[in-house]
Amino acid sequence: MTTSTIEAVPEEIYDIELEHSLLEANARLAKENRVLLDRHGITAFDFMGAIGSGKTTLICRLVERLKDKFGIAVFNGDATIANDTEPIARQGVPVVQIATVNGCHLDANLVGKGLKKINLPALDLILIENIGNLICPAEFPLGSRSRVVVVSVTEGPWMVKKHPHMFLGADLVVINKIDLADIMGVRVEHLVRDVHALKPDIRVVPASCKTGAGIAEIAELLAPHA
Amino acid sequence: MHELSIAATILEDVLGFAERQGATRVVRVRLSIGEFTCVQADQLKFCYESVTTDTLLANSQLEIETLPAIVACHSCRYEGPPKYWMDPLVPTLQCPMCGESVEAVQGHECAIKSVQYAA
Repeated sequence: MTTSTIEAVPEEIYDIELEHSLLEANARLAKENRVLLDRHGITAFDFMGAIGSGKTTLICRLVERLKDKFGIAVFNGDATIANDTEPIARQGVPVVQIATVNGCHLDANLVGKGLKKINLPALDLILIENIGNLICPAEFPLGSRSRVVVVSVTEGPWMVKKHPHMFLGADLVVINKIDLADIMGVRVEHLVRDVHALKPDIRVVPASCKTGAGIAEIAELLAPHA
Repeated sequence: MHELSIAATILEDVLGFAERQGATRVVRVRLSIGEFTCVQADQLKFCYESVTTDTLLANSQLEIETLPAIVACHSCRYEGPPKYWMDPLVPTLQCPMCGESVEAVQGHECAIKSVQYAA
């Protein structure tokens, strides 16, 4: 009697080298946004910072200061609601609300869609408020010329040490709510020192939206000779 | 949790590749992630497991290799590992030799290096 054996054919395993960048799709769209902005002579700034650091109020103060001399629009990124757009829209500048539907960062695709919704020839400046988060937006450029990180003394003395990545990618750091530094027991110069330990040449501006300290200096950095 | 959008990008990329190759299942995906990125390996693995369920990538292994940071100084011409700060160690953009600002030449990568699959 003959026995026939059936052997399972072993699966063949292949190992293929790839070099696919996972951040490239966003980086490419960011570049497209930048080309579009450049073509219209528009400079965009991306404001990043924790929830409650004062990004919206700072943008409001900057709009107040600059709106008579420049065409300004504001992009407001939020996970859900549109509360933040009201105080800015009251100043009569176009506001584009970008809801990330609970996503943790704006990306270049969402900003690109926003750029299609406004009258670009009328603009000189776009201020983009990113989602209140100090970690996620760092890896997702939007096409802006500079990234501004807003950190406030009310977040405590360790904010820079806790979120170093955000500062490494920033071009300007605003230390906000300095009028509350004494009450909080936070030394502004220690926060400045921490930022410079990460990136020695970065510009750091201590500011207060309440007293107006530092606002003129920030406005001058965003729009020289305003 | 930007790890979730990165996991979704891996799924999309590898799924397309595996289907074109006629794969029956994906065995392993190897990533290379730079030290300057803030992509968290454990979170990324968790997100990867979640998004790959019921796909060709289900139960595949995600291997993450960290690419060390390298910086270059335009002031003193230093090129090499960055200066680290604090504990846990954070790479900075301060030159370890002269203290000026440096440029990151490696460490921002986030890429799929290889895919192992069965056919």
